[in-house]
Amino acid sequence: MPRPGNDVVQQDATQESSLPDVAPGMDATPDVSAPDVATPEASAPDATDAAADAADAAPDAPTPVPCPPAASDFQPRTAMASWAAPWNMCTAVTNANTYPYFSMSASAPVRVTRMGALEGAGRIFDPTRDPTPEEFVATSSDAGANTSAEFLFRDTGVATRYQRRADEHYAVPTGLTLNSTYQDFCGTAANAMANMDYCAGPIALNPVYNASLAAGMAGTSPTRVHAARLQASYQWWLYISTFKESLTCAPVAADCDSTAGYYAGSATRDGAMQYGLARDLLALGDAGRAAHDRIWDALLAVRCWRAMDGGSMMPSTNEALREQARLQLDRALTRGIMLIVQSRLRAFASTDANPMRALERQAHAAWLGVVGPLFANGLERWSRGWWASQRASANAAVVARVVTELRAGEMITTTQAGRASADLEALFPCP
Amino acid sequence: MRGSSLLSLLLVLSGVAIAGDASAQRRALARRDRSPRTAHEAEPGATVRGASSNGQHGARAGRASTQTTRRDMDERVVRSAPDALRYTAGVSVQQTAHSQASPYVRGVTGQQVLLMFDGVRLNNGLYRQGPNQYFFTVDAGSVDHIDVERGSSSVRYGSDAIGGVILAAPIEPRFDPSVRTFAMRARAFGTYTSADSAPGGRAEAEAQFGQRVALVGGAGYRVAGPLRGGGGNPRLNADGTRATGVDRCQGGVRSLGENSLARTPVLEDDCATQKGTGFRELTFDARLHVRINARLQAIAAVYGYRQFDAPRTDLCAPTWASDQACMRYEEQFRTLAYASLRGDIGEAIRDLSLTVSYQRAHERRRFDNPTGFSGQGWIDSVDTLGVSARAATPRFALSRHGVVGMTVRYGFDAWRDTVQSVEWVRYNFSGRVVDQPRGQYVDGSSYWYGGAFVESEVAMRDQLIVRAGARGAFAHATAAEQSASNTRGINRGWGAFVARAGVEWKPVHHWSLMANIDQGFRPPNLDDLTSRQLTGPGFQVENPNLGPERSTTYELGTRFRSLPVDFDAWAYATRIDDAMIRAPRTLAECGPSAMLCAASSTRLALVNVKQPAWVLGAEASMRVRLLGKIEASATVSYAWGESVSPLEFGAPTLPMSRVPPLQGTTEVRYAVTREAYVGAAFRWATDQTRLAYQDTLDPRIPAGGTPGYGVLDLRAGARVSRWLRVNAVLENVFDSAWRVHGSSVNGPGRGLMIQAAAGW
Repeated sequence: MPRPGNDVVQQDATQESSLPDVAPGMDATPDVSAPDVATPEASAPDATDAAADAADAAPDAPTPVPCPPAASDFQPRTAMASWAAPWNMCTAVTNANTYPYFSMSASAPVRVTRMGALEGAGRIFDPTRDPTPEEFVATSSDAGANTSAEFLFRDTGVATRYQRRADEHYAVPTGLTLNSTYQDFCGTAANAMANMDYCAGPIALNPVYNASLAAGMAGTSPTRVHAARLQASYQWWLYISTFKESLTCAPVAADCDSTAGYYAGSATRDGAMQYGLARDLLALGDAGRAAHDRIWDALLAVRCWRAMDGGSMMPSTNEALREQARLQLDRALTRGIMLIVQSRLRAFASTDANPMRALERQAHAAWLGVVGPLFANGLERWSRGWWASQRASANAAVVARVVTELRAGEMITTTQAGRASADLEALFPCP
Repeated sequence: MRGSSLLSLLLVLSGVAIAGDASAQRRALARRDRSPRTAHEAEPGATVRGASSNGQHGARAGRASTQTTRRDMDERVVRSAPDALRYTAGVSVQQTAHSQASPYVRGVTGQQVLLMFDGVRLNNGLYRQGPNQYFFTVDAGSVDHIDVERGSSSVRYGSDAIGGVILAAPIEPRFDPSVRTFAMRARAFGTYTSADSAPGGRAEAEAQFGQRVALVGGAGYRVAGPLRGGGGNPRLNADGTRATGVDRCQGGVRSLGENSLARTPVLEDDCATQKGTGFRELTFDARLHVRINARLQAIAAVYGYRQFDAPRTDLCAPTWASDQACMRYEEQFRTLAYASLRGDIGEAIRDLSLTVSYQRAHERRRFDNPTGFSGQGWIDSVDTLGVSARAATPRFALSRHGVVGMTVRYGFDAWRDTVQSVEWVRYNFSGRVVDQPRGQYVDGSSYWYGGAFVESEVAMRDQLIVRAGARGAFAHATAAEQSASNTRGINRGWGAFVARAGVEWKPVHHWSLMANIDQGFRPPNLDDLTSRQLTGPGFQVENPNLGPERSTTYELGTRFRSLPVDFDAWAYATRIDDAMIRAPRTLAECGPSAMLCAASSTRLALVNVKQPAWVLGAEASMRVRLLGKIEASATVSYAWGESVSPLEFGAPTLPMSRVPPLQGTTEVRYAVTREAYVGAAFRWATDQTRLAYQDTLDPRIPAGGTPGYGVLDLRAGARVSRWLRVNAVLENVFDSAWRVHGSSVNGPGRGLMIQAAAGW
């Protein structure tokens, strides 16, 4: 018997190869009339090279890869009667399109609040215009003071959480036990310095946040570059936060709610109130939509695991089930962030031949300068088992190449961007 | 610190005597100094006010009440006024910071416990839900005794008296009948507590001008260093070196669920010293009594408290930011001034207390985040003007031979709060400061509240006493609309009627049985109505339709009083109706251009819920005196609270937040001589695993609950000379790790507490 809301057919999840060419959060048609006053020489490659790069950067559309979910995945969009064990024991999820919070008054909706508020400030992330310094940091109490990016980062608590966020894709530091104090680890400066990959928030993201806001507040031109870096740090933070909460949900059940909160800022699969990575993915066409659906399935898997393993008041003890749910989430999320990176690579490449879009290109490069190295480091050193296996089975040359390309950061060329886009698709064809 | 210690030593040793005019008067004062300073220091068993402590004698007949006396405070060497209540039945003293403490009375605190100082309300319209620090701003050095009345008591005391009332009474100047012209004397005491390396002292002067005018004034200062908790030690590696990393400590306060160190406080490398502790405080007071006639006095008094650089321990460092971030109270000030007429007027008006008061509470807070982009600052101040009057009739006979007598008490009070509130941001990289559109509260908002009451007591042969009373109360809140922050204006008032009834039956001379029904109420205050902000559960918007919450306490008690034995036992049930809790709100209720609100997926407002919350509990206390030399007392208390669940699934009710577990105290005192004593004290509490859902998210509460504890203190004291008395406590003898449920500060580890008092 079909469950209410299970109107999304399974087939959707197998057609995920429609590749967008626009970065999330951007209009499909950039405002070319916007005056770019900066000199293109600062960031644009040589015209000849650019032409060659552009030619190289037009990869053939990859052949769609069928991506059925793993047999062990929770598939809430199928009829309940077909749910495989242990998911058939899950009674917490009654609608495939709704995430049931552990508590409306718990901390999870706060994460939701952070998400929604920051998306409200998303106008500064438009790469086709230079935000004013007041849009970064309001320097008076006049109207607008409560809509600046800094205000929203600060008052929603995101800014302080940059200072302690761990990337759980890396190996957990020795001696760190998964309990209620687990997530305090990277907040200690000494711990962060000794575990720089793991403590990505204080080491990699917080400095970007501080520097970008300071430069934006000072009006250092072009300000869109600073906004792009801010956005990049924010999107990566959402990516690692969503995954992190799925782990710390083991000792504190409310963190499961935060998993959904950080990903979508919403309790529903669809609808207007989608924020964060969910909104970014839904802007990427069919591929993004498919990735979003698989992530949403995985969020419900995490919710089911925790409901079946301790519930709201008791800690989790079933590590195997926890990791089964988290594996599903990790794969889907990584496919999602890959699509977002890929779209940015394409957007960067698309501006190559148009001098009027030189500043926009700089903004894309700035974005890649933040996320590219982080992604590259992860591809090299993430310790998650599934990725380690995939890395081992992949063409080592491809992995090495994409790592190099992403690590180029802001100096990436159009050619490299094109190759990286294709290589990433090859590495993460499915959620 | 060394300078501070020196200051303390000087205070201890240099209580300067200021001579009076005549040797006779000096001798008279000296005689008085050797005699008990206040009535409570009289012989044990005396039936004067404050003659004993730990639940036997309270301010009000027929109610569950406890008095903590000056002697109790001196011999315990208390750190603060809330600290003085740790041996009080039915009270648990929670601490969010070393410099803060919030007494829970019968399972509730904050807005639901009324604080009063010499008859003047301390509660104002900014008192917030949950624990608050404001009783800490009462200088224990200026207090003569503290009464705690447990159970709802709004008929006599007004709003907020849901769980009970805490009444602090100050030291008063005394009229010595032998002084004819002028006499003056000085006292000083110094304290040092080693667990927080806190030297402090108070100097006090008292003067008498003939038989009509007397005054007392004092000033104190204390510097508290970082507080060392008990039971924590660095873990050693096999080679004897200190372990590092996350597993560097052993012992300490650990979670019941995980056996991991509590998330707060952050510990220094010694695994005992707590970051985010330490502060400075300055106190001052002056009190003038003018005798109008033998039974009537005019009083003018001022009391000041100034606290500086006091970190909030759970936010220094917060669990949600870098370990270098810190929230601190740069200033936590309170000033209270009042003039009062007290005594009897003729035969008809007895126990008059007519008081006009002014109080200013001021906070300046700062959040530093050196690794972040900016820090924040706030100033919130509230000025309160008050007037209160209460009096009683003489006992008049209702029967021919006076077998049945009646006394009526009556009074009124009115208070007005005016709020100043600002907030700013300071940018780390530039130092630039930018004002925010509004502060935590609406600047300029005001709050009126008060009421009038009447109580009667009918006694038949002093064997059966029936008490009843009622109060009519009002409150009115005003806050201006503010477009820049999309704050809606408020202009609303509330009325309330509460009543009480009680009966006391004395089947035999020393034994009483009591039954009471007493109501409490609390109208929504400015904090409920205007503190618009992101809260734990979501974005909170105003609800102009909030109504008062009400409580009814049903209690049964028995009391046995004799010279050798005092015993009290009470069982109670408090029902809270229309309790204010947070509930979801719709997007439409955000109003226009309220970005944070509109962007939130969860919008909340305080609402009055229809389902009642219940607190059930029992308390008992006993005091035994043997051979005129030995005193032993003990208390035991338990509270069980249950309220509507905030969860959308599961049980419809859950435990109330931070209700204390089963707990108790024991104190033993042996008078070696008339001037010397030794003693011991033991405090204990069981595990508290009954947690509200929000408790499971609160870093102040270790995962799975707060572990129980037992803490033993040893005490001794003596008058070592005509001028000098010393009290000493070896606290936490076994260096136990302990923490009161809901606190973010661990209790002090083993240490010495010493108080030396000199007087001339």
